[in-house]
Amino acid sequence: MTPVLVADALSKRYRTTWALTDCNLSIPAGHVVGLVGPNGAGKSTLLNLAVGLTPPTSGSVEVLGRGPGSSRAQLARVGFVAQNPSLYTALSVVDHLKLGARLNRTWDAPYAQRRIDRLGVDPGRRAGGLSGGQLAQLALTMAIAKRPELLILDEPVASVDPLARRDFLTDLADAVGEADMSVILSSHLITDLERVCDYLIVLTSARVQVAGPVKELLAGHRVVAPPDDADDRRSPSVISIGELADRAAQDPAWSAPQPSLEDLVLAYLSRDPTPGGNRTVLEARQ
Amino acid sequence: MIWLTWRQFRTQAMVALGVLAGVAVLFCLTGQNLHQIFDSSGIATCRSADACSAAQSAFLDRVKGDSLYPVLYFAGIGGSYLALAAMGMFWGAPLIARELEAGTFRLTWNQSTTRTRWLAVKLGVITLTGMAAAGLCSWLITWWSGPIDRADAMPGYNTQAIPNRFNPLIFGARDVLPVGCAAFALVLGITIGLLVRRTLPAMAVTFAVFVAALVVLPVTVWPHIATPQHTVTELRTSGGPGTHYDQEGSRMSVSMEVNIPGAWVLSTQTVDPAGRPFTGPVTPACAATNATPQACFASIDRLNLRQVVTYQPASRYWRFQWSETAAYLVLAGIMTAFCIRRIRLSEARPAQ
Repeated sequence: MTPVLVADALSKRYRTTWALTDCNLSIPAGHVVGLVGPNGAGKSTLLNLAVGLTPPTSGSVEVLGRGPGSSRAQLARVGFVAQNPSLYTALSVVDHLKLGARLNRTWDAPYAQRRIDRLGVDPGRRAGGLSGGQLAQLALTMAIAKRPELLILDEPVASVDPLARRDFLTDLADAVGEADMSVILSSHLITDLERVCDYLIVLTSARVQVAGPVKELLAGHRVVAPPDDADDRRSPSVISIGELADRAAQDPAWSAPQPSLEDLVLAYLSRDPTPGGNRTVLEARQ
Repeated sequence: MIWLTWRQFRTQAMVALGVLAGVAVLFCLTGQNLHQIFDSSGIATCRSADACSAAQSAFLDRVKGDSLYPVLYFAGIGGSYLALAAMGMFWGAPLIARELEAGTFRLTWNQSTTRTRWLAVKLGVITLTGMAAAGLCSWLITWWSGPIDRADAMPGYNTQAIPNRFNPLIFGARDVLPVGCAAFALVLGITIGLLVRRTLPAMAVTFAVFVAALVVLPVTVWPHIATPQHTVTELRTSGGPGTHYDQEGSRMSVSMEVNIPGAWVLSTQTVDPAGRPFTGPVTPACAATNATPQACFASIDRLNLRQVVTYQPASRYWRFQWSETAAYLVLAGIMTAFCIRRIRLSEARPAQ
């Protein structure tokens, strides 16, 4: 099966700052991919490159086997929900659905209607009068109703209250279950990703730190804590299995449970990204 | 896409339609009266030069006697320019700039419609609508002003009258030219919006550039559409009306009113018998402390000065109308091509 996204030495510079440096990725189809990293790490840039809103400075990116989309056919295959859902404040909910129906050949009108009905939003209401959660839901509805093969969401729930965020992610998970659709979802909130993602990419300082299926990543790492009576007062740290073997061979009393997703992500986020830094703490081997 | 364009544009279009309807009623009602005055003046049926001159005077005096007509005459011209500038500012500039500013382009550019098509439809619908509106307005104003323009293009009447329709100020508010100018104003606004990316600054820049174009083009480019014609007349002041005389130190300038019916006068220059521009010296009869106007003017006449008038004759009116319209359309076309190229390569910076 064609990977949903292949990046080859992909880099993007805005004037003098590199927003993304030498990004190499191959994301297999059929996953809900979580793209995690601190603000300004290049998540939005990577996603904008993937939907063709931004051209790369160097390197290349392929989405569903083709260059990202300025062609009509390619645009139809990829759904996108931008950061801070950019909807027309003066247009009503119904107008937005009409917009989707007019601009997409593969529009699933009954689905869109069902979804809006279920949300309990007044269809005549202007988008400018909707809450953040409703806006995100409307944007998601539009992106799914065009029936894309790949759905890309750029921090869709960043500015939404926790309850609305949970509803949104639940709805997203349901939609993925119903349709044969891959998803790439960016967030800086690990709990969001834990709920829906089965594939993880950690991006910091414009570089990909680690990428892989969540299960494999968790199975490939251990939280290492020195035994209670050890002189070593270092706090527990997440390390790879390879390193664990060395350490455990020295002292079998060390405990080594599997990390939680949060532990894993935090360990990669706090890692010194510069080459030659404290790389020994973590080295993912799969 | 056409639906979306219309949905976003309809409020502005309705406002414009309302204004246009109001203006149309006003001009239709007063225009009928004006045409009646013209018909009853006998200008259209006069045979002899004297009769025509009398009819012309009677008509223009009556028109000037009622302040309503002069006011509407100039309001029609001013309103035309204002409407064109407003189109560029309020329809053109925000068209793309607002989408870039609000980020809504991210939504539209990710539907299954290419952004080239998105731009082409938006630009096309708005520009054609604007051109149609400008055409209607211009047709109405040209019809309304028809009697005055016709009376004004006749020989004879005191040349202090209203400038004729070939004068650049009035020319731009007549016949087809506003249609081309509307296309130019709108595409200019759209282009500036695309470059500036913010609505309010784009509107301000559009206004400034449009006004600059209206001021600069009639001075620099339009006069060269056709090689101007010249007439040379002997300068015989005889103290008659229409003589301009100015004295400053030892220099003096003198000229006569030009009366070339229906022409666009580009320049008038007074030259001496050798063909050099005349700037003095002041004749003794004029410099004398006890100078009388009669003696002064008589001394000027003895210099055998001539006046060279450079002008575009009335017969070129339509040639200039079509040429300037075409030039505006070509400019609009170039800017459209630029916009389409630019939008294809354009960057969408993520909001960080």
